[in-house]
Amino acid sequence: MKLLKFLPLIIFLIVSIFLYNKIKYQKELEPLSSALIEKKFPSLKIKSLDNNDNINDFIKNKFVIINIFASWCAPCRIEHEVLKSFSEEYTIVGLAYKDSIENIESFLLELGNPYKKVFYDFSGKESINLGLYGVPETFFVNEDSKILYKHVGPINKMEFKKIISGIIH
Amino acid sequence: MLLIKKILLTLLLLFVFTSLAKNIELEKEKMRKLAAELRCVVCQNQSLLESDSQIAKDLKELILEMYMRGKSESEIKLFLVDRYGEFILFKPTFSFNNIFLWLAPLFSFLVLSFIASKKLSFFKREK
Repeated sequence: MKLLKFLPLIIFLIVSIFLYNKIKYQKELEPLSSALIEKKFPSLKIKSLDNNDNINDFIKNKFVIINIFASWCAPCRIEHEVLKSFSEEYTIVGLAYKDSIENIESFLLELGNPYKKVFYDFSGKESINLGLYGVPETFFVNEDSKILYKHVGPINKMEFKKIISGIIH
Repeated sequence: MLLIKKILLTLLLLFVFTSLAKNIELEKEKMRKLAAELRCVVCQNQSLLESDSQIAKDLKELILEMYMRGKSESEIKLFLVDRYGEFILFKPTFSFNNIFLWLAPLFSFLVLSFIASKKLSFFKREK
């Protein structure tokens, strides 16, 4: 009976310790895209602007960075400079989201083209297969077409380098 | 004879169109029911049904398309969880990772019942 008196206190202590540990040793916030990480890049019915190449065929057997962008997206303009600075070192592929050919072309003409190839998803439906939240988003895909990382929002140089070194090591 | 044929054709077309419209309405209702159980991926604490964001609209259209193609609710849910994670579900699935969440109410109920029964028997003895 004596023990029973302290039962609420014991439960309180157990719950407190549990919650304290959860807060103290919580993992770093997982990226929003955790559902797709370590999975194979989905098969998409997305074609390139120039010669109707399929995106899945193009990324086969290479390490690629796939950037989803749109000419109407303001953060994409800022991110564009970052992508340009890495375009010599890495294969960056563009995926235009809900855009028109004329607008994509004038966007790339105005700001320069960091992409090895530009694919398009005019309806935006195919990008749902990539778990898209909005533009811009950047995927890091290895030679086996496995998604290693997904960055949501505009990427800066520091983040880009950090992700690359994280992937390599 | 020609008039009868025309009337019959009109009736047939009318029947086909009304049944099609009824079918679409039915699928839309199913979509709305499912969208209410799903979380909008870009807004805070809003269901897919309530959200007006572009991605929510696309997802709702996609769900409707999938229903029209004869996919079941669980197939659609699986499709979305595969892409957006369990985060998209308002009601999490039962798994080892969230066993504590699911069993906590039962556990609290058992503990409280135990305390209550002990207390009651203690009071009875006092009397």
